[in-house]
Amino acid sequence: MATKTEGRVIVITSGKGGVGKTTSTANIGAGLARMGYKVVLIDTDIGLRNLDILMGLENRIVYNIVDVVEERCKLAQALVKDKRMPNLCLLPAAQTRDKSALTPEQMNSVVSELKKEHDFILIDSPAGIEQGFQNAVAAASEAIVVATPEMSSVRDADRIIGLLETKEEIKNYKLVLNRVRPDMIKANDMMDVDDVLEILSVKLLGIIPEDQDIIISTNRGEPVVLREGEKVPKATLAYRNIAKRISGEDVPFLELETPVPWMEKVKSLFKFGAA
Amino acid sequence: MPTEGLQPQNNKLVQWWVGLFQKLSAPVPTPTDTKTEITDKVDGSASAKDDAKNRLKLVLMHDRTQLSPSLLEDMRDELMEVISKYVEIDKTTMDLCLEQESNTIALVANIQVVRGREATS
Amino acid sequence: MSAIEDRERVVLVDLSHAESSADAVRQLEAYLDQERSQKRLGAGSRIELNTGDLLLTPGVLAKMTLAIRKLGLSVETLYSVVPQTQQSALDEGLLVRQKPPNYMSIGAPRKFSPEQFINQAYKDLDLPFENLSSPERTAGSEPQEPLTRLSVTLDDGTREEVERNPGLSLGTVFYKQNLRSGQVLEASGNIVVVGDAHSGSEILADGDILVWGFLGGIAHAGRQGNDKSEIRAIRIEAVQLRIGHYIARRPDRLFKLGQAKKHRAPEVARVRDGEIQIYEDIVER
Repeated sequence: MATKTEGRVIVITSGKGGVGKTTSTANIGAGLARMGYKVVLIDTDIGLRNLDILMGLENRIVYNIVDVVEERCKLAQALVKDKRMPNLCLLPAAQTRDKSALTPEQMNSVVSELKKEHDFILIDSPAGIEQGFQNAVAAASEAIVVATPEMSSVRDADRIIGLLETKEEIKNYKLVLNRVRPDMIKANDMMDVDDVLEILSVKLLGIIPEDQDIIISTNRGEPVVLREGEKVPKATLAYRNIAKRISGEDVPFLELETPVPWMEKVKSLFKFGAA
Repeated sequence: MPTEGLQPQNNKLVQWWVGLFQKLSAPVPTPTDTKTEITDKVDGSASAKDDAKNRLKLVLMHDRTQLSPSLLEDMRDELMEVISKYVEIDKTTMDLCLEQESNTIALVANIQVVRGREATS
Repeated sequence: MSAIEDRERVVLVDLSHAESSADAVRQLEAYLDQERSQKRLGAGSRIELNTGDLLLTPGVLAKMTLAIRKLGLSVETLYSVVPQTQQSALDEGLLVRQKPPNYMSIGAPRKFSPEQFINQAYKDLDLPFENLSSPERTAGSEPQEPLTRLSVTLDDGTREEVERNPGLSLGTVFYKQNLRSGQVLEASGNIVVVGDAHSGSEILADGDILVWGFLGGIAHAGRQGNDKSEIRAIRIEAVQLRIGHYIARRPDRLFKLGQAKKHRAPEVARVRDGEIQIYEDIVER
């Protein structure tokens, strides 16, 4: 539970765009808040902000992080409180500016202020390795690298990990493998989790299955991790487990197996006959 | 050839014999063969994963060492030049590539030595 | 601790486009079925019904409320412009209003300097503002004089005189192009946009704003503190509307059932009764 020590600062990054950084930030943040921690999410994708939409808070934004660093408002004024949980808030990016409106130094001062009041500060990095990435990483001491089991995404993740390793401030980094499709892995059409871990030689934080509920949640501005009930989507459980692992709990990884499709059975019959 | 000793007037018969012989000697697809073909196809699509893995490993090795295939080619040529000063090597079989074992990347050269320079001079 | 505060589970079900009361019942039941199958409405969610100009008998209304309450949901408010329907709703123990609020005011109904206003607005959102001093910044200039009077027709058909400042003394910027996400149009006078203002765009004017198209982004009229300014558009679906010291945000959810009205009048947003309200902009001659 909440400690009196300074909050942990975690950057969520990927290099490649569209692999689920922002979705992961929203869900991991909401997952930690759901456990009772005080969490703030920072969107550093200036000019192309999206975290507000995923959280369903786009209509509440008055000030943003650029207003804070340019001293048009106080930091607390720019924090948008989540409509579901009082211990979760968002520091939105500016939509009408560009990446150069923020520097790593400014990022550092904003984060060091937030650290006093929050248990977790999650920083959503923009795609790429340019200034936006540098801003996002500047204040972080931990990193979560998001990748999908595709060549381009894994290659970019490798580049990002290389960059993170050169940053002294980053004490540890772990991988979240997103959009995993057990059916394709089963058919040997997709690299499996172990393949990716072997190639990147990185520790695993979580596996998120491809799940249409994530799209539905995004459309409704409600992180999928907040679904409640007996039968929640697998992605919900996956993100809850990630939040638990971040908080220090030892949670086994989700079993992603799906029932064997009938084509697989036919194939195995054939193999049996041939042997 | 079994047709060699036959008379020219038996030309048609010869052709028939040759045709029959070829038919019989040609490899007939056996049931097991067809089966291998099917499983091959299945495994062929299955290797999408391995394709990705192997290509990715190669790309990453080049990324990490910042060695492009053309640089590797240049290095190969220069290495050959240097080595040829001391030993006579088979330039056609020389193989230079990057290999990864767990966390380390190795540059592996496979060079067949024909004979030492001293011996020839 | 997994208690999730769900303060905003108020869902407005818009039945005003239904063809008949029977059609409205059908639409409502279809909606409830769909929500139930997807388990989207938790117990305790509150439903508000907008029945527009439909005539609902006590029997029909009782059927509707029963369908809602059967699912463990509550229904408290009904919006209707028909006296008989209103009476049916009152008999059913519902709160009756004329028209649903287009926008939720997050601004205070009192006047503040811009910074104080923001503080107040955030107090409504339960933000920790207690220890904040107001940042130093030059206060907004006084509203432009002279004010003129304007007669407007309200939703219930009555006419009302409102004070307004047409901003005639200010210049006008004319922008003939769509405004896209990330683009800002800013002027010390009035702004006319011929085109759509997409979500993510911002229009900031000291005077009035007129969008000859769809308004989806943020619009701030009377930026220097003129609460009499107005925002007009063919259709207003702005993420946020700001007029002078007031600010209103789009509601989180609005389920619109049935067909949208074929013909709709342009809309205008102005401050009335201490909050930003949107009207159909019908000019009386």
